Amino acid sequence: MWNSLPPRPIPEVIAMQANSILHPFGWVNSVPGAWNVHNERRIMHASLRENFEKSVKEEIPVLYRVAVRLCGNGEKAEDLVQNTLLNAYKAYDRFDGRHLRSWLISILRNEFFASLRKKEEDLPLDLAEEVVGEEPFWAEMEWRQAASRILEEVDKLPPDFKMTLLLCDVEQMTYEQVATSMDVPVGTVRSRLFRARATIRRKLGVALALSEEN
Amino acid sequence: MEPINWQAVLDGSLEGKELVQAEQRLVTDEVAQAERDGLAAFIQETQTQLMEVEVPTEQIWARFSLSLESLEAPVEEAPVAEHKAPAFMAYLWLAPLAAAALVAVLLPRPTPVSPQEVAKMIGELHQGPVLNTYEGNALTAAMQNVRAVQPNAPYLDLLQDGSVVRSRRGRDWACVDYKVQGAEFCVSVQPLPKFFDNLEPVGKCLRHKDLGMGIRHNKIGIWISGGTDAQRQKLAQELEARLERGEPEKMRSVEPSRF
Repeated sequence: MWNSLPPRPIPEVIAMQANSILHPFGWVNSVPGAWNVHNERRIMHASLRENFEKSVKEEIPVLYRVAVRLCGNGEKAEDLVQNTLLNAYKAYDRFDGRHLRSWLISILRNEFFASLRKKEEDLPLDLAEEVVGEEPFWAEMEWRQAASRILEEVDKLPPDFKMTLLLCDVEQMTYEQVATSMDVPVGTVRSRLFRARATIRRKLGVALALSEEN
Repeated sequence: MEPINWQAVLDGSLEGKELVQAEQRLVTDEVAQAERDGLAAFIQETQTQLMEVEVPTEQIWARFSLSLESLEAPVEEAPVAEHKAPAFMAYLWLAPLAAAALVAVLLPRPTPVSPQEVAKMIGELHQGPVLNTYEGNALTAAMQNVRAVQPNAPYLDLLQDGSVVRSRRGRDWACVDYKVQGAEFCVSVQPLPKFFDNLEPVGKCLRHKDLGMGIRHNKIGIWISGGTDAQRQKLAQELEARLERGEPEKMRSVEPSRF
């Protein structure tokens, strides 16, 4: 039965037909039609770009700080941010307008893991379960003394733990925002944050004890 | 005594019996207070340490804008409707285009290079080993670096109120980094780079709105980067005008470096 239905008109053909009726030189209908389509696209690009620039540019520092810690150096971090921005731009018309930072970070994270897969780099993805022992645990550490070693220990964390720590402790994002950007439940964010902090604390304790012995 | 989740205390997610227990301990127990404060100090210190990253926002944005330009370059439209006009009339509109194309083919012109390729060429300007670096505020020493690789380079004293930060030289290039009113500029000399053909002419200078300004001087290419587009344009035009006038004639007093 559906063989008898008329074919669906293609939107571009409708536009062309309208154009050839309205245009004084109807016989050159394909030229102004093409021009209009191109011009519309150009205007759309300009407005998309303007919106994108307004909202996304100020997120670059956050993206770069996360990228630097993930990649280990500025050059690779710049490339990662660059690819993130390009992918975000391509998908910007599909962005729902909520939690821009989380959305951008989720793109950055996907990009990062994709680049790891390409290079077949084998990074540790999980941490041993950290159990906080007897108190004092946090109070025992002289943080000013340990400050210079914090970066070293953060860099040794598996990527997802590092990202959780950066987003929660450095960028002050909420657990919900971090969960959205990493596509995990809020409980996983809490647990990763706890384990990341405890791992750093334990390793700093060992390192400081060793340096005092020496 | 059950251990308290200090993370949950700090983020405010502790509830019910556990919250009551934590609050009671915090009132009576100094160790508990020290634990909570210790974790808070750790978070604070981590934030301080990890925030100390210099972010090249403008550089990243400039590179991204360049990539966008090539991404948004118009693509040819596929024909979408069948033409019913007489065959010869349908092609009439091609006549001026054909004439323009013929003129364009006959005229000598630079090879078309995409903005992305131009940016890549600019990025590759000073790759290769740095053979010498001079850190200091002496223009003469910086010029020795320049003359060591480009004996015919003009004296790059373009910034009367600026200072030289450092100079570097590679196999066939040399750079002088200047600081003018807080902004840093890099002025480099090298054999005329290919990408100069693809820059926008502004007066006698050549412009890339995001990355820098170029000047052709004999067979040498002078490239100014850093600062803002407007600042670079001003510097390039001043330098070009001074080179045109053949000043300053200090260049004779600068001998090529022997180091």
